[in-house]
Amino acid sequence: MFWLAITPIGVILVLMVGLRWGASRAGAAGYLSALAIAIAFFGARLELLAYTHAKALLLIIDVLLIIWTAFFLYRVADEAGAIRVIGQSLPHLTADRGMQALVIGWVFGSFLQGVGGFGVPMAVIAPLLVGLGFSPLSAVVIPSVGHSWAITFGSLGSSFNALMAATGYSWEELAAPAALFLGVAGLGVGFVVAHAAGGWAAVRRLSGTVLILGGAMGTGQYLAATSGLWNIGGFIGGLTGLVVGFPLARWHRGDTEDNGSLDWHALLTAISGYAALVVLTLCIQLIPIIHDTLDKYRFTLNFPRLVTTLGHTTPAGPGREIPLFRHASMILLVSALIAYLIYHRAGWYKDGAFLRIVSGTLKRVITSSVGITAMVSMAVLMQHVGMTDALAQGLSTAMGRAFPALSPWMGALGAFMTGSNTNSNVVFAALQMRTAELLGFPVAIILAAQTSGAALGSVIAPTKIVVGASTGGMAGREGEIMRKMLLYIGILILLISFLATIGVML
Amino acid sequence: MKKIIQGLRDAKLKTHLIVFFAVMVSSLGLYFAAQNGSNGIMWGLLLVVVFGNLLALVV
Repeated sequence: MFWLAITPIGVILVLMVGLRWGASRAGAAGYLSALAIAIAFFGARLELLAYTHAKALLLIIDVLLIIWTAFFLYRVADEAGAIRVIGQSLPHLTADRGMQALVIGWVFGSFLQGVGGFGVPMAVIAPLLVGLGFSPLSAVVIPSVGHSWAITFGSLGSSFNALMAATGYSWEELAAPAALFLGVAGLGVGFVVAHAAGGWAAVRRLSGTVLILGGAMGTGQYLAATSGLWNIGGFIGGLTGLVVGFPLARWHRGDTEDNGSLDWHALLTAISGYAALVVLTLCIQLIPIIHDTLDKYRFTLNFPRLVTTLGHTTPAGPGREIPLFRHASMILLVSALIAYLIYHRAGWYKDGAFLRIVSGTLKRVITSSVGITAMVSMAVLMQHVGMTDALAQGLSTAMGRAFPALSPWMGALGAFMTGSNTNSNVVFAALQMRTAELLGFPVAIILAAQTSGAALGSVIAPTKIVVGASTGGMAGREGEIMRKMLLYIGILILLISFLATIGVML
Repeated sequence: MKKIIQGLRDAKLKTHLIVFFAVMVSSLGLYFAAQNGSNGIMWGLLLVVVFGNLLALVV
C-alpha cells in the first residue's frame, strides 16, 4: 500500500524534475493517478469522491484567493513603476559591494517576497545587480537565496495559509515555531549572501551588519506572525529590514564620495501603496469591533462521515471555513484599489493601465491555479482514502526517531519538485502531520520544519532557477547556478534539521 | 488529433481558464449531487473533472 500511495507524488516528481513539465501538467497527472489508485486499491466510493472534491474546492478557493489578489496588488504597483523606483533608490545608499548585496539582494528581496513573490525578487533584482557590476552568477544567486527565508510568510502569507488549510492547525499553533525557524534561517541567509558577494572577507567584515539586519527582520516577521498578522509577516520583516538597512547602508557607504541622490518624494509615493496594506491589516486584525464585525460572515460546507470500502473513516464536520470579509484576499483587494488610486492621483499610470494590470494578473495566475487545483484535489483525495496514512505509516517505520531531522528535507523535496512552498505544503503537510502524530512528535514543530524546508528548497526548483537564469543573463547556464545554490541551500536546510531535532526534545 | 492538441496549446490561457472553471463548478456540483444521492449526476460531474485534468495534461 505504501508504494501505491507514493505513486502520485512519484509521478509529479518524475514529470517535473525528470521531464521538466510545468506544475499544471504534472499536477493533473498526479491527480489522475491518485484518483485511479484510490478507486482501484483504496476503496474510494462515488459518494466519497464527490464530497472529497467539494472539500478540496474550499481549500482551493482559500489558497487561490490570496495568490490572485497578492499578484494583483503587485501588478498595481509594478504598472505604476513603484517597484522600479524602490529598486533604483537602493544602490544610491552605498557603494560597498557587500552592503549592496545585503540591502538589495537580501533585504529588498525579502521585502519583494513579502509583497509579491512568484519569482518577482529574482526578476527584479538580478538585472539590477548585473547593472551594478556583479557577475551574472552572483547576480542570480544572491536574490535567489536572499528571499528564501521570507517565502512562507511572504506573498501575503499564501504558503502559510496553505499549511493551515492542509492540516487544520491554526495560526496560533503554527506561527511561532515557523517564524522562529525561518528567522534563524534568515540569519544564515544573510551570511550566505555576504559570502556570495565577497567571499569570507565580506562575511567577516559584514558579520555585525548581518546580525543586526537578520535580527531585525526575523524579529519583525516573528512579532507580526505571532500577533495574527501572518499575512503580512514577510512584508513586515522586509520593511523592518529596509528601515534598519537605510542608516546601516549609509554607515557602510564605501569609498565613493558621491553615491547619487535619492528622490525621497518618489520613494515615499512608491511605498505608500503598500502602506495602505499595512494600515488596513492592522485596523482589521487589531481593532476588535472591526475584526468581530467582519468575522461574522463565514462560508463553509458541512460534510457527513466518509468511509471507504476498506474501512478508512473521516469524521463528519465542516470543511475549511472562509471568512468572507476578513479573508486576507479581501484586505489585499481593497489595498490594491487604494494603491491604484494613490498612483493614479500621482499621475504614474499611462493610458489603459488598469486593463494591463488585470490581463497581466490573469495571464500570470491562471496556469498556476490549474496546477494548484489539481494538486490540492490530489492531496485531499489521498487524505480521505487513507493513502496519506499509508505513506505516514511507511515513513514513520523507516525514519523512526530521525524523522524531525528529515522533515525539512521532505518539505524541500516537495518544493523542489513542485516549484513552490505553497504546493509543497499542500502535498506534504498532512503527511508530515500524520507521521508526527504516529511517532508522538509535536506536530507544530514538524510542520514548521516542513514549511521552512519548503521555503528554502523552493528556490532551487528548476522552474525558479530558469526564471533567475533568464533575468540575470545566464540562460543555458542553469547547471552552474544549481551547483552553487545546492551547497548554500543544503547548509541552510541542515540548520533547520538541527533546530527541529532540538525543538522536539524541548 | 494532433491538430486539436496543437490548437489547445496555442490557446493555452483560454484552455486553462475553461479547465479551471469547469473543475471548480463541477466540484461544487458534486457536493449537491452527493447530498441528493444523484449517482448519475455525480458520475457526469466526476467525468468533467477528469476530462478537465486530461486537457490540462495535454496542453
